[in-house]
Amino acid sequence: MKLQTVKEHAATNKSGHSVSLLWKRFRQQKYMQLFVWMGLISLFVFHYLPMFGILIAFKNYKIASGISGIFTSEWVGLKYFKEFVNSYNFETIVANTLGISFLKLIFAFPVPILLALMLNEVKDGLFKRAVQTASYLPHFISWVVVAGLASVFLSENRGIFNNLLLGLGLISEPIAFLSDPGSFWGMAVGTAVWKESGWWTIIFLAAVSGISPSLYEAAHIDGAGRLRRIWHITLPGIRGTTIVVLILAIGSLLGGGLVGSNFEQAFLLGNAVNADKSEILQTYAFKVGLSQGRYSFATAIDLLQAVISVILIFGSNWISKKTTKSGLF
Amino acid sequence: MKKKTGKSLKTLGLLMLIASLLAACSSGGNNNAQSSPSASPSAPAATQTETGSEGTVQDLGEITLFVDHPWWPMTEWKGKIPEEISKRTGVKVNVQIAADAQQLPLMIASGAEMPDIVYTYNNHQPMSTPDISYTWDELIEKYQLKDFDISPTARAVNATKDGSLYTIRNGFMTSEELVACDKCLNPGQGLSVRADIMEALGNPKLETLDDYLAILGQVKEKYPDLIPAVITPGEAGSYLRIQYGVPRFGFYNAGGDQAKYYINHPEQEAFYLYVNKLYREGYIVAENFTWQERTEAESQILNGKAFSLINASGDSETLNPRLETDGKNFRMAQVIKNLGANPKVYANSIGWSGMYVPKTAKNTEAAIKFIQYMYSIEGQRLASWGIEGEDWTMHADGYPVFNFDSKDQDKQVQMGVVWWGILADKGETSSLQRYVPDSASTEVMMELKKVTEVDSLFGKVVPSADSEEQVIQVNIDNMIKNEEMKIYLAKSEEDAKAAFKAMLDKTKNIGIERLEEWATKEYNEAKALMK
Amino acid sequence: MRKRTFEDYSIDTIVYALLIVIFIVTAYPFYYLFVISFNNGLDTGLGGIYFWPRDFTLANYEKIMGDAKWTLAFFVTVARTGVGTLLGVVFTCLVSYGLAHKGLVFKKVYFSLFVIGMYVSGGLIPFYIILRHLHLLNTFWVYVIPSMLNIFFLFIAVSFFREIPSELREAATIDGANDLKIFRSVILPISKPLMATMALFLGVGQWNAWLDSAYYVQNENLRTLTYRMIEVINRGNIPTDAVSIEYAANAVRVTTYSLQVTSMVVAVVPIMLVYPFLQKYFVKGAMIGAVKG
Repeated sequence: MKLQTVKEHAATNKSGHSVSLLWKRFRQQKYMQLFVWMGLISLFVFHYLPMFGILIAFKNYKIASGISGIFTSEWVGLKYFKEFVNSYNFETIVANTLGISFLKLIFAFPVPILLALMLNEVKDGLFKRAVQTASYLPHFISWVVVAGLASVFLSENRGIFNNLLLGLGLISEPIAFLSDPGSFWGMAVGTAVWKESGWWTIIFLAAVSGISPSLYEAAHIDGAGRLRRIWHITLPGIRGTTIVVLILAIGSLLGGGLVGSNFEQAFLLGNAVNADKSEILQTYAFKVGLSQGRYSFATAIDLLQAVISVILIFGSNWISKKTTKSGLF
Repeated sequence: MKKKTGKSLKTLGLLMLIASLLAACSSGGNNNAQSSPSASPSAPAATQTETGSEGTVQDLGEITLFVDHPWWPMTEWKGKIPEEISKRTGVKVNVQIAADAQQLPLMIASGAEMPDIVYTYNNHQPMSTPDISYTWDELIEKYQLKDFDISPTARAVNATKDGSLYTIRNGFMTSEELVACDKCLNPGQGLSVRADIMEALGNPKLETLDDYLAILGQVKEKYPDLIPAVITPGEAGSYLRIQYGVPRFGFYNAGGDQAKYYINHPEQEAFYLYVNKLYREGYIVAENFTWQERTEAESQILNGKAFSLINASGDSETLNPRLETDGKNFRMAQVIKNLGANPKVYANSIGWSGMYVPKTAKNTEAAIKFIQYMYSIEGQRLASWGIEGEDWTMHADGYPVFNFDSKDQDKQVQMGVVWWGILADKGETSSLQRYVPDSASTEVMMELKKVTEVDSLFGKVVPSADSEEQVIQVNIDNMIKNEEMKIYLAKSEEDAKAAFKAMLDKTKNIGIERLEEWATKEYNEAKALMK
Repeated sequence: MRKRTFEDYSIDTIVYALLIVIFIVTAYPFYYLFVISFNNGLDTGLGGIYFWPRDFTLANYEKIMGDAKWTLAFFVTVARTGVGTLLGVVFTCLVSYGLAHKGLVFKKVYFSLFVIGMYVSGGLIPFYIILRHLHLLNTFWVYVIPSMLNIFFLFIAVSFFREIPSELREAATIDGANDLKIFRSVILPISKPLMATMALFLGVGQWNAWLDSAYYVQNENLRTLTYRMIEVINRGNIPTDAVSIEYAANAVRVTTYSLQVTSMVVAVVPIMLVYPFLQKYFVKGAMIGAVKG
């Protein structure tokens, strides 16, 4: 105690005073700080140290020049970014990427929450376990296999899905899911929802399980019906988790957000016929960059996406704090 | 709770034990790899005789062979033939197959220690640099190798601009060689039709593209449940373009040594309009263009749901046995003659993959001697065809007759034959193998050969990675892939023509003229060098 | 005990109906793939299979698992999943607990660093070089150490820890415990839903990982299960533009597609076996004991 007071008096100027306060708090939390610093070290070694590779995006880099080539190659500045912006189908690519991503955010994000809510309303037992288990199974089906499934199920000629819709009288003519550009966005969002919702439900179920049952009991005694209980207890109970997951989903917006998979879908389900609607940033970058061995270009596009993601996270976090007082940090 | 902690601690302990064992294993394994016996470089290397059968063969140790093709069917140096090769060369081989296309570039860029031989197609440019690979000449000189014959054409075609020879690509034959070897055949595209339906229609003549259209029309009328034609993805472009006599990709000589990009050939429009007609008349379905795999088109045939298949020259031979096992009562007949009025195959390739010896290779002596052997005619035949007398014999007419089913992949892997022969194949060995007298596929390939024009100078007209020309070319190729769909699926001939013109305009916007200018310059430079 | 109202019935009906539809829509495709894995690949290509294999065969499984190398790969994968998940969960939770501390000094700086580190990357090449300098290449540890910190779950866990009622911590502090002890004896036990979720996600990630096995490891004894399966799938999946097009043409009973499906089944089965054990952590009121006690 005495030592601390001495230190406080020793720092006489204003900032010194608050600095030592800061220091005092720091030492009080020393274990917490230690935990964080362990993470920072891992972050530094595996994420920040390799960042010198970003230079490749601004240089005319050839892999034959090896590692030193990253530093000695010719500086070309924003050449690759300009190339991307000037590409002949720039507007189409951007429109598709943003369109699919936003649709996924709007339609795919609520589904895991709804599913978690629905499962929560069901008694524990075989049915609940069966449904929940089945719901996450599609997560394990690789996109390559999904594309294969799609070509069988959604085929215009002999696909079951079309036969089903026709049989139910919902449509009069089979829908050309695979070839019609207009249906690509719907197919992308639909398959992503189908594939990933069940998996993300797990996180929300975990959050829901943290809500004390006594709250429900109390509400029931007060006369609140099911819907009101959900609205007033369950939803607020998972609010924190929901906001965090939402912000993270917005951060990965360009990749497809929560359900991700923009690249895999566009690459596997996209084809020359629906290209006008299926060519996205990542597939274009792949075709013109990585698959041609143009690492500088590929790195430039990756960097572009990374910068946009970071801006999105900081932005949505700020908005969240302003509107709901809680956010990612 | 306590019991659980106990159990989980035990599991943890067990896992850590396994982990440490593996860590020990791996470092142990690492040491083993590093202490692999390398040939003693001090003693003057005994000359590797071409025949290699008599006398003791010096044990040159082991080399690592990296194959930059994830789909390579042989993942080990195993089987009767590899063993024989090792016996004759004194070299043991440890095979590594690339897991995907990024692995080799990662190795190159990170300066990692590379395998002794790298066999690649996608990475010719980075590998052909002095920092990364030895030139073959350096190594031939260093180890005083005799009888390593490299023809001047092969050298000219494979050398870099400064004359260094880092590799020789496999599968390349000059036009003189192709002509001289009349049984040498290149794989080709082809059309096959349902034999039973042709008969039912009264065996109408099928000699021109118009005949084909007419027959398709009859099929559509009389067999409404059948799809008249199915096409393997990408092959519409190939087979039908050949029939129209237009190039399928890359550059071609438009006369007067002027290089043009394939899309600018005057007959391209006719080809596009033909495919569009197939679509408009309902002879092919739109979904056809979305198929990603060959098997989708094939399965339509196998199911009896389609009348004709545009794919490869050997289709009838591959599909008919399967139709028989499936108990189907129809068979496919291959169309032998070319249907086009002026068919032409533009063969501009200078080969495919090549073997490189990286600067960081450990056992360079064994590597170059291995390459020398595989490049020799004895090595090629052993690796591609098998042991002479035992697995094959040479027919009097100059082609191999096999004692085993050389096209069965399981057999190939079991014996270790065919694929290793591709590594240093000079073209003749792999193409002679395709000749099977009196077979439909051989006849089709011979017909194609008659109209094949080889201009290998264009194989040298390849823009360097990241150059402006490369960017233009890649963008044009991507754009065409997407835009040509609009031509194929246009609702009327006028629309198709308009779409074609729009596509050509787009190529101009991207910079096709600059690309062709550059190509003409490069072509003429390469021509001068060849003299 | 509770009287069921009309609202109860109607909600129940809607919920149950929807869940049944969801069940069919998610379970059937998986069942279909399961059936395909037991069917002759070429026969599958002809279509028309819905509920039962038409040409039953074990060839797909034989091809995928038939290698002697497969058993070793299996153990490698089990080991990396166990060790990697444990390390990942413990480490990430520790770091996030610290990060969740109220009034943490430099908090904004830390968070910003983590966010940027999550998205901005220098690419494969520098990462590879770092691994090489750390001597992690070609060892088992390259599978588990770089992935010890999962930034996504870092944030999820932070949000979770922040919601733990402060009464719990205060009660422990009164009892004289320091931060570390509080973490071990109070926080960890009630974080079971969080840790179960993390264990599941990280575990699945470890189980399915194969790129690191491809790029960072040469030792054949260290290959993982998925790597081996991808190897089998790649082999013979010869692209149509490769030079020797007809060599590949022939009758193989096992097609690429059926191999992909089979490998997927093999990959899922262990997860499905493990999941029921984790499911009980998602039971309602997992935190309830803590406050009262």
